[in-house]
Amino acid sequence: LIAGKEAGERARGMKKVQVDEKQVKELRARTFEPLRREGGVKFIEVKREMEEILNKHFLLTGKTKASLEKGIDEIVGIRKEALPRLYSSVKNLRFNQEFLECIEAFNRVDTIEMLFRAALMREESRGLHFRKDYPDPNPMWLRNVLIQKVGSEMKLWAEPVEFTYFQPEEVRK
Amino acid sequence: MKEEQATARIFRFDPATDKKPKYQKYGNIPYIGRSVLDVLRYVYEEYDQSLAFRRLCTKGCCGGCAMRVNGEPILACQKLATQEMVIEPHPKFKIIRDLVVDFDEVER
Repeated sequence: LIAGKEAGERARGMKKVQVDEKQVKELRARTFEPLRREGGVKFIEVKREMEEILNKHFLLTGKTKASLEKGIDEIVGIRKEALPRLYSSVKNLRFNQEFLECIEAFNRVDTIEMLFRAALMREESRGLHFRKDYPDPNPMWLRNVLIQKVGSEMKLWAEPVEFTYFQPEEVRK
Repeated sequence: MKEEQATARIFRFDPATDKKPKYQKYGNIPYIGRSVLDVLRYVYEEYDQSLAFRRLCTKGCCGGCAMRVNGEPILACQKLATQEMVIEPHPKFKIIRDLVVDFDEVER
């Protein structure tokens, strides 16, 4: 009850978010485009290409600067060439799995690109992130990599981790 | 060695356009060690993207893939595929399309 009261009072003090109509229009067009298109690339093909890229360039132990850069090139290639030609061969709006996956494809490409860019930026090995060219952990990289969309580009930066309970030195003892 | 292949007869029905349901046959599906849901996904990826079925948690928790295989009500993600299969939607619910049924009555 207290939480509800707090939330209500806080909500009253907030400003209403303005919806960007242009952005809504663009996203709508992008989302429904695969239904209108009569030919092009199917999601299954795009998905297989994405899997291929990850299998080739995002290996658990074989990541290097060169392989990650190659991966970025290829995923950007998919974004430029395959995504604008994506189409759903099924036009039925009733439980259309293929159309759903077409919508997913855009997010998948974004996620893969973020994965590659963040791995490229982190020049060390830590946990599951293993870079062949930087095989050791680096204390300088006690940081979180953050990614923001700026225009059509991804902006990456690293912020130091805030340790609230344990300090890294304590845990290592 | 070539893996043994299964054939599946799958229930197809779209209430918006079809008067009667029909069964469509798909062959050459690898099935050993795979679940019925894997078989459906294989058919979807390789042969027919218009096949509608629910594929949610894939580990037997949600009940989204409840259907009937060879007359037996099962969860498709838990049931191992066999060489000959007849896959039908759950008989107790209204059909939305193909193997997808309307579970709203359960939720109420």
